[in-house]
Amino acid sequence: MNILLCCASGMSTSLLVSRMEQAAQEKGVKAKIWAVSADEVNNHLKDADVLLVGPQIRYKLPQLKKAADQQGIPVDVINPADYGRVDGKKVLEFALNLI
Amino acid sequence: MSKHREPIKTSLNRKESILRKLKELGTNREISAGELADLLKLDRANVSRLLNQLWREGKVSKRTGRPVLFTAAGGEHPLPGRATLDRLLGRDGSLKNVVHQGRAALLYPPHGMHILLLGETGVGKSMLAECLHRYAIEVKKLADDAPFVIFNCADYTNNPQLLLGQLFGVHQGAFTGAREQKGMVEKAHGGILFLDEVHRLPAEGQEMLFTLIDKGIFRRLGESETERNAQVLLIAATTEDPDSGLLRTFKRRIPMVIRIPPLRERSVEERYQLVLHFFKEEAIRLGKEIRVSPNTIRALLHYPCLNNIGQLKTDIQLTCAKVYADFVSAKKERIQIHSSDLPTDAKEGLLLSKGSQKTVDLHDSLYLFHPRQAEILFAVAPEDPSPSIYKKIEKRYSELKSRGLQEEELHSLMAIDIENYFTQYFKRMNRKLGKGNLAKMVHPDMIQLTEEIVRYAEAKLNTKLSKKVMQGLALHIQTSIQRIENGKTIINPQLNHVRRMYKEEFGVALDCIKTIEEKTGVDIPIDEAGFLTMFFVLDDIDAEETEENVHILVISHGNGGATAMAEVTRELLGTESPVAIDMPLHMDPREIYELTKSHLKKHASQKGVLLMVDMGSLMAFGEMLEGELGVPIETIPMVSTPHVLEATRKSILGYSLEQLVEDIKQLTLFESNPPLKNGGNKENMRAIVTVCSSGHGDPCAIQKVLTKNLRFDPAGLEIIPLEIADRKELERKLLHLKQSRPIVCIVSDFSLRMDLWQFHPDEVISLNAIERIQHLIDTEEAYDKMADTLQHHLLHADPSQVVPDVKTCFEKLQQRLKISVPTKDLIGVVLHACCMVDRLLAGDSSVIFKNKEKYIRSHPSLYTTTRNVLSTLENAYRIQLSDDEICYMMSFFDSSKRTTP
Repeated sequence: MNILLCCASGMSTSLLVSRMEQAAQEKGVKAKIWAVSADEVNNHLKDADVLLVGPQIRYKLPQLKKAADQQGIPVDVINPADYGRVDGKKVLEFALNLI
Repeated sequence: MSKHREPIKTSLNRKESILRKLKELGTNREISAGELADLLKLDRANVSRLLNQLWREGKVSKRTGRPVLFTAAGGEHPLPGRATLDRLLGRDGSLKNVVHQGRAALLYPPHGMHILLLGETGVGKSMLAECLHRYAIEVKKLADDAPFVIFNCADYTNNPQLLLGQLFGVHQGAFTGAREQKGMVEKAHGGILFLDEVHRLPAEGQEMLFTLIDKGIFRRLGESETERNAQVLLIAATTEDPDSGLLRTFKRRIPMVIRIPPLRERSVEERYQLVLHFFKEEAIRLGKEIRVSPNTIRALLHYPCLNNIGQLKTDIQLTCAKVYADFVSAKKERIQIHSSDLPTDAKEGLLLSKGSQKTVDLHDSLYLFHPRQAEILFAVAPEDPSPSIYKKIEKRYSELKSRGLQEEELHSLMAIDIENYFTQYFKRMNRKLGKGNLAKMVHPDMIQLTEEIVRYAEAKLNTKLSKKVMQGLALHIQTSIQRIENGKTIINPQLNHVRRMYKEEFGVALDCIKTIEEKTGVDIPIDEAGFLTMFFVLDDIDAEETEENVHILVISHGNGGATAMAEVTRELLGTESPVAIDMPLHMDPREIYELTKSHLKKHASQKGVLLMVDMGSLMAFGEMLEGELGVPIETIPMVSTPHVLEATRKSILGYSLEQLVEDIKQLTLFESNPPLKNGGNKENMRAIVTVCSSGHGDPCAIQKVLTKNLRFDPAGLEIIPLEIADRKELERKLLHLKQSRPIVCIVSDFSLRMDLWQFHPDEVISLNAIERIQHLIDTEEAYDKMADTLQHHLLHADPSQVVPDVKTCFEKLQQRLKISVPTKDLIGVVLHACCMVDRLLAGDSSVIFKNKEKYIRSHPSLYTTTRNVLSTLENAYRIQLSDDEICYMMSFFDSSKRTTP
């Protein structure tokens, strides 16, 4: 499964990506996880099964939701506490539950 | 200088007579102050002074050199720097040769030498040609009305016939419908013909031109019999490679080849002068004051300006035009240019400037170009956090007055205030101007003037004024004059009091006021003398006590241990603090105690003292000293270099004593010292407020339910029950509480109009709300523990430093923007910023924000504030935030996008 993460510049989320990959491995889930900036999301949506949004760009959710809906993929804001703790496991579960 | 002073009235008359004399002499006659003084039988010093006044008023022109020469200004203020070769920017630098050759060519007998100008597009070929023309007239090589004709050979490339006709003239009937017509060559008779892009001249035209060059004769098109004579000095210009075939023939005919160097071969200093000059030209053209940020200048100095000076000029013009448009359409209050206003190419210069070896010392404040004042002024930076004395006094005065104080009382209060203010002022000055930065903040003329005043006051009062007086005074006078020029008033409510109290100093101050008036031509109200007096009177304030930051003192046992730690810190941070005291083992602790006390007596700051000690009796010093000295003192035991480093760094950032202690302890997890006095610090603890008013049981019951069902760290969160029966009163209380500590949520059955999470008591009692509240707490705690989280993620920055620094920064930003970002969103932003710092420390600045120019342009104040506040981070970590980074930050705090939770 393909999990797309999106934050402002695609850089801070990359931390989370590595944690999630780790968690996926432990869990035995085969997942492609990658992070992009909000501007680039549209180019990546077609490859994604789910889109997760960093809390700092929560305000972009409506806009992103529209785009994601067109591709028919679920989208939601990452739980801030999990995001702040860079809790890869929780966020991975969150993503899996969305699909 | 008082010796020569006449009443102002006579000096006015003298001024007029000087001006009259200059006008008599005409605008072409330059004269030195000495000559003029002889002519008018006046004192030379006086004439010189008055001439400078006139010059400042724009009534005379002056040419710097030795001696300085003056002329009456022509009706129109001439664009500076265009008139003669001597005013050419760079005449002593990269254009030295150019000027030299040009002069030689023109002076060559009998009629001067033709000139071939080489140089890339935009290096200033046309401008030089014009200058040469003016120069030729000035040195009487050409008549006063000698023509200067410009012909661009590229204009008619598609029609050689037409070109030749334009250039050499046409004989009637030369071709169908041709009428008799004069050519440019004839029009330029007795003067200069400037042939631009001469390489575009067709072969036929070249032949004709060579004939003109060789023999001084030509024919109009279609003429065969008549030969015409023309006395024309040719200046041909081209961008072509000088070794091309065409130019070789040209060079044979025109031996004087002048190559103007491209901009990139000229020094940064020259480019700087050019930039200033072009802004000045725009200011004159617009007839308006233009303010330019130092970063704009910096960008203009370093961007790759492919089309040379021409492009530099156009870019500056375009920028001014754009900002002027905003100004006219009232989008901006004044013509103030920031680097964001520059064309994209030019903005790049800001980035390039960082890598550049060649730099010019730029001023810290805005550059101010005034259409009438010849000099560039430097405005005090608009974001100067220290309010001016005037504002402060005005405010205080009206405040006191509105309280209905009696005049007598009011005055004594104001006296205290003003003295306080000056004491503070000196302290701030000293800090700001630690290392000779005065010249960056104050205009050199102002410094000179101040020096003069200080010397005078010293002589008159028979005292020696310290350097800080000089600095403070310089800045003060600059501010005053700007204020007066901006039409604001200066009121010193203490005037009479000051006059009575410090009679002698006041008299000197009055003299100084006159001097300032004469030097600057600004009328200064007598109230200002009251302020000046204070500068002379208050000099004996202990200037050492300038630290407004927490004072850090390192003391440890053994020889040199403390000194070593302090030294490392000073070196790493480039600071002058902290101070160290070593305690050799044989020394009696009492001796050290006395030593410490006498040091602190002199140096302790009002913000408190942090004693960093290693062990033993030293740990007890703090409490004893606190009692004796009456300043807050905290002690950190088991000191180590990282502690000292961290404490010093944070004290410079302005952390309070409490914050420092808290942070330093966290750094080490030392809890050996009993925690803070007053039963612990609740300042930073979060709060959940429960309110009960009307029969839903008591608030404590809700508190109990919450405590029982929620998981949280009791050291970080407090549940506060309130008993309040009135909604308004509750809102007031909450507002008050919110200022001192973050409120997680509130449980109440009032419907509050506040930006807070709110739950109904029923929801809590039924446990329905617990999960949601837990979620809020988790978020807050995650925010608190962010530094731990990032411990293994950041490669270049230390999370225990970055996280708090970033948080502090964002708190400030929110305050300044008057918004409050909920923690749940802020957590992401902080993470983003910490990663950003880490990334920049690693040298990765590749982040790109799409359409940033547009975004910045549409949010100018958000941009400025964000930039300003984030500069703390830039300084603390020695990183540079690109506009892209700033734009991301802006987007997080952009209040228009925020919705209340």
